[in-house]
Order: sequence, then C-alpha cells, then structure tokens
Amino acid sequence: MDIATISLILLVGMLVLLAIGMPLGFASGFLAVVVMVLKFGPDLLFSSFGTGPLNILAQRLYGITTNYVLISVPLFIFMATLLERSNIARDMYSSLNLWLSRTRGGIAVVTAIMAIVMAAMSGIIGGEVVLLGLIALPQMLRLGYNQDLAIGTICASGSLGTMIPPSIVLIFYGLITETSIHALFKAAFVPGFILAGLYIVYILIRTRLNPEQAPLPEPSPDDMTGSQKARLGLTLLTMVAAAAAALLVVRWVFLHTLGSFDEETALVDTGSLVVCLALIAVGVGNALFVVGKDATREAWERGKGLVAPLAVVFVVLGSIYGGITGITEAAGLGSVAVLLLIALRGEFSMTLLREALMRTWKSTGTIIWVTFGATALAGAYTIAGGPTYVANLIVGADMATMGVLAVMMIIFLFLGAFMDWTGIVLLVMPVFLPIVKKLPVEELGLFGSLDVAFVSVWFGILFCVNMQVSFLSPPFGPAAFYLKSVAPPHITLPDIFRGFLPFIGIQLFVLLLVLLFPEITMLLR
Amino acid sequence: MVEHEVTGWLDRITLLISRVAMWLPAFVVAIIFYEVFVRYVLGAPTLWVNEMSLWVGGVIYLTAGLYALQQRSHIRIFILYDMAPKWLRQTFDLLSLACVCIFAFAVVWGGFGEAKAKLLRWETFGTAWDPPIPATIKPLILLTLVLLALQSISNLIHDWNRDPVSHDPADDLDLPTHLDMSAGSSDRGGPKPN
Repeated sequence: MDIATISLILLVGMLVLLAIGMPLGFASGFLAVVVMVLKFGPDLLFSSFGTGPLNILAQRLYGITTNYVLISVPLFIFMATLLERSNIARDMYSSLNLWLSRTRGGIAVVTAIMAIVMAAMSGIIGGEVVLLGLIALPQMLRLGYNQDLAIGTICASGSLGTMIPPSIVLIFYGLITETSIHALFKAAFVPGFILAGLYIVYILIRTRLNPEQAPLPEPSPDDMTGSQKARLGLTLLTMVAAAAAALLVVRWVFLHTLGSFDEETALVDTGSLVVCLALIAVGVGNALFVVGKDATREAWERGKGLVAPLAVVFVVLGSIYGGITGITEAAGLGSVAVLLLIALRGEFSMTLLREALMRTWKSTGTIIWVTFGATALAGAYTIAGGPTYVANLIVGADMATMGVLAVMMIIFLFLGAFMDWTGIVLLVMPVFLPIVKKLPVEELGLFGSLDVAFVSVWFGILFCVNMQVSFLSPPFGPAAFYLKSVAPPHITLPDIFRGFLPFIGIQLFVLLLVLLFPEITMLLR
Repeated sequence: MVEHEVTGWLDRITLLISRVAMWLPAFVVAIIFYEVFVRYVLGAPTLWVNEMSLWVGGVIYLTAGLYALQQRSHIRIFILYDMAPKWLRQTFDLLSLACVCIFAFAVVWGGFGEAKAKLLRWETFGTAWDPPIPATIKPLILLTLVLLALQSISNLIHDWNRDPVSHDPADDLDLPTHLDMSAGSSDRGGPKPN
C-alpha cells in the first residue's frame, strides 16, 4: 500500500483511538502494528513465528530502554516528589517574605521567585503548582490581593519547571529527535529567564498601576529597613561564598594528602585556590570584625531558608553546566542533595521515602510507556517512508518559510489545548523536525542568523515555550486543575482560566521573540 | 499515596513486583552518588556504575508500566469517553483491549526469536563491565507486554460494571496532606483527600 494511504489511515486511526479513551502509549503501539501490516501485508508478517519485520517493534523498545539519558527521568521525578514532601519550599517562602514583604506586589514576586528556584531544581510541573497553591494563595487572598493576579502568578510561574533547565520536556525532545540535551539546556537558559523575568516585571507594573490589587501587609517591628537589608544581604552573600570556597580548599588539601591529584578532575588550580582563600578571609573578616557576630547570626536566620534550595540548584545546574557530570548524574546528585537536606531538617522518615518512591514509580510508568508506544510507532512509520513523505508534502506546498513555522506553532498550540505534551513531542516531532531541517536556514527567524547545526535545538526551545502555553490554555490546561484541587471551593475553573489571560499573552510574546530572534537561543554555548 | 484498590489475583502479582522494584530508583541514585564520590573525591572512577544503572533502568521502565496500568494511571483523553453512555463506553473499552492485545501479540510474534536466542546465548553488552543486558532485557520486554495484556483483561473484567468516575488532570496528583501549613491562613479550603 502506498504511503499516502497509510498516513491517512494512521491519522484517522490515532484520532479515533484517542477519542475512545485508549491509553496513548498503547494506541501508538497498536497503530505501529497497523502500519507494519499495511506496509508489508499480513502474509509476510505472520508466516513465520519469532522473526520477520515485526521484530522492529521489539528492537525499538529495546533501543529506548538502553538509553542512558532516560534514567534521568525517574530520578528527576524522584527528586521532585521528595521536594513536595518536605517543608523546604515553605521555609524558602517565609525567608523571601522577610526581604520583600514591604514591596508593592511583593508576595506575588516572592511566589514567582520561589517558582523559578523550584523550576531550576527539578523539571516537573504539578507539584510546584500545588505547593504554591497551598502556601502562597491563602496568603495573597488574605492580604486582599486581586484573585486573578494571585492565580495567574501561581500557575504561570509554577509551570516554569519545564522551561527552565533541567526540563523534562527538553529531555524527551532530545531523546526523540537525537538532539544534544546539553545543548538544549544551554539554549533554554536565556529564553527561560526572559519568560520568568517578564512575569515579575508584569507583576510589578500591574501592581503599581493598580495599587489596590496588591495591598501591603501591616508593618511589623520585625521589618528590615533598606540599609539593614543591604548590610545583611551582603553578609549572607559573603558567608555563602566563603563556605563554597572552603569546600574547594578542603578538597584540594584532601587530594594532595591522598596524592591522587589529577588536573583533569581537580576543578581547582593554584590561581583559583588563592581566590578561594581570599574569599574565606573576606567572609570570616566580615563576620567577625565588620558587622559583628550578632548581625551575622541575624543574616543567617533570615536567609537560611533560601540557602538550602539554592544549594540544590547549584548542585544540579552546576554539575550540568560546569561539565562535572552528565544530566543523569546531576539528577542523581540532586536527589541525594534533597534527601540530605530533608535529613538535616529532621523530616526524614521511612514513610516519606517509601511514599516518594511509590509516587515516582507510578509517574515513571505513566510517562515512559507513552514513550515506548510512540517509539514503536515512529520506527514503523519511518520504515514505511512516512517522514519523507510528509516533509515533501509540506516543502512542496510552496509556502513561505516563516509561514510553515507559523502553521506548526498554531498546530502545537491547538494540540496543546487538548493533549499532554508527552504525546505531542512523541507523535508530532518525528514528522515536524525533518521538515524544519529542510527549510532554508537563512530564512529562519526575521532578525539575526541561525547556525545550521542549531536548527533542531532552536526548534526544541520553540516547542518548549509552546508547551508553557499548553499548561495554561483552556479547556484542559493542567495547571488550572492542579490549582483547583487545592484552592478554596469558591474559586471555580472559569475563575482560574480568567486569571491566566495576561500570562498567556506574555508566553505568546516570548514565543514570538524566540521565533523572530533565533539568536536568543544561541547566547550560551 | 492513595492507591487504586486491588481487583483480581493478577493485581496481587503486579503489586508484589512493584513493592520490590519501586526501590530501584533509590538504588540507582545510591550507585550514581557512589560513582561521583569515588570519581571526584578519590579520583578513581568505577567501570560498573553506568552500565549497572542502564541495566536497572530497563527493569524500572518496564515494570513501572505494569504498575501504572494496574493503577489505571496511563495517559488517556477522556473528553468523549466521559460523555458516552454506558454501553458505548463498554464498547470503547473492548476495542481498546483488543488493540492492546494485538500490540502485545505482534511484538512477541516478531521479537520472540531474537529474545530467545540472546537469552540462550547469554549475550552481553560488549562493554568494559559487560553486563548481560541484551540477554535479560530483550526477554523482559516480551514478558512485560504479555503481562500488560493480561493486566488489561483483568482491569476490564473488574471495571466492567463500574459507574463512571470523573476525570481531570489533578487525579494523578496526590497532594502532600501532611505539610505543616501554619504559615497559611484559616480561610484555606484545605486539600481534599484524593
């Protein structure tokens, strides 16, 4: 049978199977079998047991099973579930509050910052929205914040987990399209923080234009003055820097006494050792002689809630960007760091570990089996010549380059309103990316130029921003449902979606920005 | 975490496997930590950690899918399904079941020869530490698919006369109910038991 008919049957079959509520992974798997039968005919397939072209299905499953980066998925899920079960996030919230509560719109900004830090720790949304909904929403509503502003802030910034590295969406994109996940993480850094920064800027502008939307809390004697904030903040910074430097020095001394010093893995040369020692001197000197012991203790008391999460961020992102470990190892180290923090805080119990593992287990099974089905389908469809066919179809349609991209963005946004991102990346990407790669590279984006080797990375970031919109877009934006499950009963789903509108506008603006200025994704590399 | 109830004897087997296998991610975390520790602190990386996590990872993905199926947590779209009358939903379920079984059947049909050969040859991964990943994971893929098909049948038998439940994306989130929320205020709705 020719590939045009097969493609049509595949499309209709997928729509029908999804409509009747079949699990996505198994629907893809079944359609993979259908494609094989249509391509090779039933006789060829079922004539001899145990061999034949159908073996491609098992081979594809085996191929993805032995992919080293995929192990980072259960590990990141594990880390996120541990974080959800500890009070680390709540302490970070209280700490940030001390510093920002006297600013107009301060609690909304605190919420956004907290979400950004949590996004930089793990790459999953869901837990973040729920946590923010439990911690920040009651506070904002009690203070008389505008409900739409509060809801929009929580859900939009709570969804950043899959935009700011490490991001599970980018991990899957990289796996499916065989793009370097390292490169994706580097590329996502700038757009991710532009998006997050715009949320904060928006909150600040909106609350200054309408001060009644964000009333200030009653002043309390505990509030810090501006100069006090600066002094304590600087003290805290020097303390953290000195501690980090001390760690490196201890390691240097340890390696030298052990005699196993190796320039490759040492991380410290003599020059930076001097810098480290200087940092320690500044830290200790500041604490003892400049501000005094009491102020140092106070700075620590007010800032310690922030230090722990930032340490986890440092472990995860530092290992990835610093080139110390790969993504999988960074996920493993992050989990250890969170476990360690939980233990230090005295929250650890076997029940907590067991519950977190059970939760991880269920989420892993859910997400990975979608991948399995899709990889089988992609394998079958490729053998049948599908991607080439679709690519020729679109390239032959004689559309302007940016027109093709615009159509793709609209398809992503539309699918995103109804489907989970896993399904979109796994089913649509194997078809879309080859097309994008065939487009003339100099016509991609309106301003600036894109490297040929960078096209798939750039497209991955575009996809990632699209999925940010999908978390918020009605009727099935998951963030709304996550928040609904913890919000006061009088807040209805339409209320929640109404709060999203300005934030969806910001997301679309960033999408346009990345689309028109592809160079944004190439700033770090 | 609130688990789906046990429905049928096959669920007991699935849960038994899961109770043991769910500790595997923690095991992977532990060996990765060990690897990074000996590499950067002692300057002596291991040979086996990478390949061991690859091997264990395979077991994790396959068996976790079985558990997710028993928990009815695989990703589905419920828009039309929830609107359909009961007889139509039952027809949908039967169709789905048939598709799952055909998928499992086809994978086993095509892959049996290779899996059997690799198991009998005890084929190894061909790397430094050389674990028997092909010899174990290939047969495990086929075995898992058979179990998945059986579990689907078992699920359908027990869900056949069930009344429809409401579905929304938050169903799959279990909320951290034990969190100390003293910083919050009293006008909070409170997490609903999920």
